[in-house]
Amino acid sequence: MLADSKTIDELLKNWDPEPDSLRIQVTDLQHSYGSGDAEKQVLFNNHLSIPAGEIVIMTGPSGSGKTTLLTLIGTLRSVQQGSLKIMGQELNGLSAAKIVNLRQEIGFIFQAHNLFESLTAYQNVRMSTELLSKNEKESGPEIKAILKRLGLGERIHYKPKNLSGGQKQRVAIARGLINRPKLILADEPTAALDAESGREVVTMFQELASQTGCTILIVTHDNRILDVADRIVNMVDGRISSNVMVQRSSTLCSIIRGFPAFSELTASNLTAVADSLQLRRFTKGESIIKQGEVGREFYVIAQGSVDILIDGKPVNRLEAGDYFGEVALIKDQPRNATVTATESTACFMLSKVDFQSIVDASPPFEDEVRRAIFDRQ
Amino acid sequence: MATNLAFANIRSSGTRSVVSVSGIGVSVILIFMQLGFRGAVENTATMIFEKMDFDLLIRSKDYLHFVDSRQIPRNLATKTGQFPEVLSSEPFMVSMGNWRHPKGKRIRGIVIMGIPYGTTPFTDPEVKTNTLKLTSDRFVLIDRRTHHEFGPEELSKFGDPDIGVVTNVNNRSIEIVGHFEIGAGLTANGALITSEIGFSRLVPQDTRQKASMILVKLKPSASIDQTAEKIRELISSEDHAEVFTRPEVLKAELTRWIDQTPLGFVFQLGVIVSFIVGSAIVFMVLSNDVSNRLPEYATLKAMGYTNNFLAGIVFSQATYLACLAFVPALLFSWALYQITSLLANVPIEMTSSRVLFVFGLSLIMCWFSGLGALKKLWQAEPASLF
Repeated sequence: MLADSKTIDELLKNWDPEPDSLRIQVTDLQHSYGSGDAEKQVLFNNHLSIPAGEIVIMTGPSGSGKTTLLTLIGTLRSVQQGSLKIMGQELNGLSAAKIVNLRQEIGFIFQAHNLFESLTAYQNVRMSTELLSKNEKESGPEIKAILKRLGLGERIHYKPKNLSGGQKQRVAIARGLINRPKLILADEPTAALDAESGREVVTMFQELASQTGCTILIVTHDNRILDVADRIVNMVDGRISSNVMVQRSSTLCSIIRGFPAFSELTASNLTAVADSLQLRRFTKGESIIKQGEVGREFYVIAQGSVDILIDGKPVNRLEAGDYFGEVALIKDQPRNATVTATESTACFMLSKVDFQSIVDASPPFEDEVRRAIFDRQ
Repeated sequence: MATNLAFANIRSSGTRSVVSVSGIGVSVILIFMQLGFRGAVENTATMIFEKMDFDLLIRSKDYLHFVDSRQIPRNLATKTGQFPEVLSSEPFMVSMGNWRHPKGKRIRGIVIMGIPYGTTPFTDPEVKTNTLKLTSDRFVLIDRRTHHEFGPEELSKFGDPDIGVVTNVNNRSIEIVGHFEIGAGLTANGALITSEIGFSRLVPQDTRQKASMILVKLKPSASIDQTAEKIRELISSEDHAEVFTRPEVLKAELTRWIDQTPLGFVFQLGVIVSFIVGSAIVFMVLSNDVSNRLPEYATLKAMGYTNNFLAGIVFSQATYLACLAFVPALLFSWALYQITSLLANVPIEMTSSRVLFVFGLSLIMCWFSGLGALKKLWQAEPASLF
């Protein structure tokens, strides 16, 4: 059973984000504290690219460097080595004045709230809107609406000392979100909240991400909100140890489960396949594999169709969901046919190594592939 | 209107703000009092000369101050009087004496002024009328501004009931025959006028040979400077005398009291010390406040507010403190001026220039301290917020 073509369309469209739409682009980032003998490196060779509209959850044990990475991305710490771009702006060596401007496009939500003790909830949020010199006529109703939505309607004019921890947290969230920033950096935003308001907060995050393309980076240990993540980044000892696009991964699993090649796989193998799949695009008439070459890849057609030609003569046409390229990999022979795209075609590709490991791990998969080879001969 | 974080901070600090405003207020009051006293000294130092009627004044080169003016030859008055430019040239005698309370034994220092019969050294017409009563060398006129400790009949002030009262000055019997109003200034709490013969009776000074000063009045057409020059040529070195114009006399008197006595320095020091105390209070209050709110300032920085904005908050707070402290301090000082004027018998006035000066001073005091508190502010580190 193939997934509907719309889901596939969307998946393919967002597969490789344009570099322009990247909100965070971390390249070979290193960071150390202290100097001389006391110097201690806390970030090592980190790479991370996050497009607009993504919700990223960052996890990792304390001391793993996630807070350092967060403050670096938030322009609160200066970049020492490597490249860090946010909203396309390189932070390494950026002037103080430009950093101040850039900060106005970032919404911070601190675990310690850091509200202004002498201002009311309403005025606390207003400190944000005044930054963009919005007048009160314009911002007032917005502020009231967001506080109301976060369940603070009755406490708009309360000062922080008269608010509970959870209420302060929500004021801090309202302050971080009110300007609809392009980037939100949040540290345990839901830790002090009950299930219901925690859910309301992440719903607001999702709305903001989908409506304004805001990128949200959350450092959290709160399992209740893991489901909103488009991506989960795990850090260990100053390195990004895994960077999983959970949303895409699960969509991809549901798509490839419909492909005959993978229909017998267990859930964990399916995820492994989904994580190692790469996307290849071909234009009409382009050769995907050539007869006589050494085979290195296995293909599943995601969209479009291909012709199989042996000695220049078309022998078969394959459609979306069909696969090819397995014979050379299993028999370790040169390609026995040429495959050409008949239209603009997208294929998921598995490298020989990944293909082999799945074959080794999953007898049903091997059976399926062997049966297919047998059928075709 | 933008959210007024500075004012909100001051309001929410409650007791601490009240304490700091009081502290600043006290130093503002101290500054006002020092300046008030200084002003009073300036006013009273020159008061007696301002009320005297002269264009040029001849006095000894050894002149110290009004009641210790030393002596010059009296005939300088006669010689000067012969110049065509001169309208009148009269000797004036002045000395300190011991006044005995009419009904007790208490002795008080009093200024004794001696004048030739029929002349008046003061512009006040009342003096002129009353000096005609000095027909005997026992007769004196008493200054109504003489302190009540000198023993007026009415207990608070000398006046008509005292006419006919007999007491001793320098152990000589005198009789009060009238009164006038001048105010002797800083040297004594009381003054009396007697005739020149009466003066020589009370004070061991030969008024026929020596005078304390000579008051010269010129005709309206005469040039003051040219006449002064002529008199200067007239004075021989043996006379040991000098000529001054009216402004010169007033200025010399101010200089003497303010610069040549510790008075001016004391008041100046008082102002400086009050300023430093006030600055220290504001500095501690602001620094403390900034430290307490350091995470809030760091948050402002993280949000994208500039350092200038942050500094603006600190300076606004300083300005609010200055203003909040100044208004009550001004009212309080004004009340103290009234009380002091009444009790010490020296007029202290709240002039608008002094109000402006002290207000400026308290603003500077608070800004100066705000500048110190900025050092704390720059410690606000947004990276420490996460």
